[in-house]
Amino acid sequence: MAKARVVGIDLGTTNSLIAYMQGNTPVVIPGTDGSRLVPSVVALDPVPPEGGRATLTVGSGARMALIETPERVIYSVKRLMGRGLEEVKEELKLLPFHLASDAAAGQADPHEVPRIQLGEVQFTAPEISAYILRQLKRNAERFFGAPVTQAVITVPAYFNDAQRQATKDAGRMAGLEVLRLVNEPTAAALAYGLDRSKEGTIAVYDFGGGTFDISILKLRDGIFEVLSTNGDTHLGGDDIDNLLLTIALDEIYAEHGVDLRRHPDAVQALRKAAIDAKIGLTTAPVVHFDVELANGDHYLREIPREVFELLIEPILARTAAPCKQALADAGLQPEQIDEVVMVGGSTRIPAVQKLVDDLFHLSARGKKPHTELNPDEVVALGAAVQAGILAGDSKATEELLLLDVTPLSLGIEALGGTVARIIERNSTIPASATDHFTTGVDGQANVAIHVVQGERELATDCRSLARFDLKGIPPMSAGLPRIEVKFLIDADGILQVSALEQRSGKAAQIEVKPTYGLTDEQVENMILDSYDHAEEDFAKRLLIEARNEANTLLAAASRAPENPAWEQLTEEERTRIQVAREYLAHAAMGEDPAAIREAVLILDYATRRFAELMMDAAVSSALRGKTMDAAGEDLGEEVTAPHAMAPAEFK
Amino acid sequence: MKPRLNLDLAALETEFHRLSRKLHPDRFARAAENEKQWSLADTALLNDAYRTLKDPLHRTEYLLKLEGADIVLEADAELNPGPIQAQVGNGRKDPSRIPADLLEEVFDLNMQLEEMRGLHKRGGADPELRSSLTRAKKKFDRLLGEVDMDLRAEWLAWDEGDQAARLAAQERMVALLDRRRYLSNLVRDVTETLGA
Repeated sequence: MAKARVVGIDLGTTNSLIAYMQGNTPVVIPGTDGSRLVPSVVALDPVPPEGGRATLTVGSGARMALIETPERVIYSVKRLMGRGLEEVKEELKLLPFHLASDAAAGQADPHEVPRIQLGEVQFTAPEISAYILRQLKRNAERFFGAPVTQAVITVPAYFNDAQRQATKDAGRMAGLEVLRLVNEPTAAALAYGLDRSKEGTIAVYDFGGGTFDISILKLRDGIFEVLSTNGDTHLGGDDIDNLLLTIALDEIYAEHGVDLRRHPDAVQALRKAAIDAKIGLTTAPVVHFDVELANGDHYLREIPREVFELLIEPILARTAAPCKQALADAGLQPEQIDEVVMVGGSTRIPAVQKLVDDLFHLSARGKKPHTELNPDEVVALGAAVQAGILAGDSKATEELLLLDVTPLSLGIEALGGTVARIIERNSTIPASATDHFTTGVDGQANVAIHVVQGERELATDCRSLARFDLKGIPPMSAGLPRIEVKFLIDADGILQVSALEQRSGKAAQIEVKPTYGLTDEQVENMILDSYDHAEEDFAKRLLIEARNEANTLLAAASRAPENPAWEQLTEEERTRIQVAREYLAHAAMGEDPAAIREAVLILDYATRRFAELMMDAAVSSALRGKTMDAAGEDLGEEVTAPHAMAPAEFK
Repeated sequence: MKPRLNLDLAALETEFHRLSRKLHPDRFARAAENEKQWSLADTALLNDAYRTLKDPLHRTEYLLKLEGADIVLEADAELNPGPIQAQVGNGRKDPSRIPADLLEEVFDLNMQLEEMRGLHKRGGADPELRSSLTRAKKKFDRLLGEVDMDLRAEWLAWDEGDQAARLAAQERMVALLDRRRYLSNLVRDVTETLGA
C-alpha cells in the first residue's frame, strides 16, 4: 500500500486552504462550494429542535450566519491563539466576541486558556481552529476518497512558542498528526523556489489578514536557509478594516446621531462594506460607501484612493521597522536582496507595493516584486511542498531542504528580573543550549526556573513561556548540586526541556507549566471526533456527506422553476436539468458515494447557465444598493455555486 | 580537519549543507521515535557548531577555549546559588578587566551616561551632552574595529606558527578579546542611553 498522503495547510486569520503535491506540482484542494479559500469563520448552528448539541458550520456558510446571528459566529480566531486572558481581553476590544462569563467577571483561573462564548457553548481558540482544520481535512478526504491523517501547518514566522503549541494542539484535536509547523514566509519561498533552480538572496514580505512577517533567505543548491526573520503578530489587513469601520461608525454617529456600536449585526454589515471598499480601491481610483440606516437615512461617503492611502499610511509604516531589523540581522543592505516575494492579501494594495519598492530599492534597480503566484494561495502551496519533502515521495522536492530560524531569543529570568539569553533570535533550528543551576539552601529539593521569549532586557517585558520546577534534587549542602538543564528548540520552533543532576547522575524531574496553554490531558479531551464522529467509520461518513450534498442540490434544483431566470433557459436546457435531477435523486438512494458525487457533478454542470443568469440578476440588484457579495450570498440560498470538481472534469 | 582561525567560509557552508541534508529532522519525519530524537539532537549540535564557527569572534573564542585559554564566553552562564528562584549570571561585567589605557575615559563616560539617564528621567535634554556621547560612541566604535583588525592579524600566527608562536598569539588574543568585550559593552550602554 502506498504511504498515506501528507497535506499542507495554511491556517489563516481570514481564510484557510489545504493543498497537496500532485506529482511534482503543488495544488490547492477546493471545498464543497468550489472555492479554494475556506473563510476562517465558524458558526454554531441553531440548537436542534429535538435537543442535543448544536453542530458547527465552517467557511462561507458560517460567514453568511455572521449577518443573521453574529453572536453565534467567530472569526479571526488566529489572533487569540496561544494568548493569555489579559491579551485576549485586549484583542476582544476590536472583535465582536465575548469571553465566557466567568472569565469576563475575573472568576476564571488566569492560567486557564481563555474561553469564548459562542451562543450557549464555550470554546477555546485551539478548538475553534480545530473545527476549521477538520473542515479542510474533510475537503481533502472527499477529494482523495481516502483518509488524511498527516499534515504540515503554516504559522506566522513571528509566532512565539505558545502560539505554535496552540496551533499544534488544534491539529491534534482535528485528528491530524502535525508533522511540521512551517513559517508562512518560508513556505512562500518554497513555493516560488520549486520551479526555479535559483541561487541568491530573497526577501519574503508577508502581509496577511492579521499578521505581518518578513523573512530573508539564502537559496543555494536546493537549500533554503533563513538568515533572519522579523514581524508583528498584531498587524494585518484586519487593522485596515477596523480603521475604516471606526471612521464610519464615528461619522454615522456625528452626522446621523445613530450609535451603531450597540448593534452587532449593523456593525458586521458595515465591516463588510469597509472590506469591500478596501478591495475596490485596489483597482478603482475612488469608492462609495452607501449604507442604509435603520431610520431610513443613508450614510454616504466617497473615499478616493489618495485619502485611503493617507489613512492607512501609519499602519503600513509599521511594516518598515521589522524589514530594516531583518536586513540588519542578516547583515545585508537593501541592494543585496536579489528578489522580493509578496505574500498575503494585503500586498494587493498599491500603496503596500510602493512601500516595498522603496524599502528594497527595487525599481531603482530595474526590479519588481514577485506576485506571479496568487498571494492568497502561495503559503498553502509552499506547505504542500514541505509536505512533499517530509513524505519523501516527490521527485520535485527530493533535493530541497528548509533551514529555518527561531524568531525570538530564548532566555531565563536571572536575579533582579533581568534576562540571561541562552538562544539568540535568528538561530537556525533545531537549536540547543545548556545551562547549570544549583540550590541556595541546604537540602533544597526544588529549583524554579522561569523561561521567557523576547528581546527586552527585563523578564517582565518579555513573553513568559513557562515556569519549570526542577524536582527531586537529592539533599545536599547549598550550592553543591549541579543540575544541567538542556533547552532545545525543535524544528517546529517549540521548546523542549530536559534536566540532569550531575553529582548524583539522577534525571531531575521537570514539571512544565506553560504560562498559556492546554495540558496534554485537556487536548485529549477536546479531540473533536471523540464526541462528534467517533463511531462513524470513514466510508460511512463519505456516504453521508455525499448524500447531504446531493440533497442540498436537489432541493435547490426543485425550487429553480420558481425563479424568473428559469424562463430565460431554452427548452433543451430545462430538460437537461430535469434529467440530471432524476439521475441524482436515484443515485442518492444508492450506497456508493462515488456514484452520488458523479451525479452531483452532472446536475451541477447542467445548472451552470442557470446559475449565471441568476448571478446577472444579482448584479442588477447590486446596482440598486446591495453589495455584490451580499447579493451572492442571497444566491446561496437558491442554488449551489459552481462545483469544485466540475472544471477539471468537463473543460 | 585541523582547527583554523582563517577558515574557508564557503567550504564551511558546503559542509554544513551536506551534513544538514543527512541529519535534518525533515529527513526523518516518518522515522521511528528514537531516530527522530537522534536527528533532532545531532542537528541542534550541527547548527550550534556552524553558528559558532561562522562568526569570526565566536570562532576565535571557541577555538582558543579548546586550547585551554581562560575566556569567559558570552553564552556561558555561571553557576550561582539561589534560594528558591534559580540564578544565572553571564559574567559580562567584570570590573577587574577594564583596559588600563581607557580607565580615565571610561570613568568620564560613565559620569556622562549617569547624567544623561537622569536627564531622560526628568524629561530634559542637553544637546551638548548628547553630541559628546555621540563622539564617544564613534571613538569606541573605531576602537572596536581596531581590535577586530588586531585579532585577525594574530590568526595566521596561531594557524601556522610553531608552538611558541602559537602560545604568544593566543595570549595576545585573550587580551584583545577581553578588551573587545569591554568595549562592546560600553558601546551598547551608550547606544541604549542615546536611544532611550
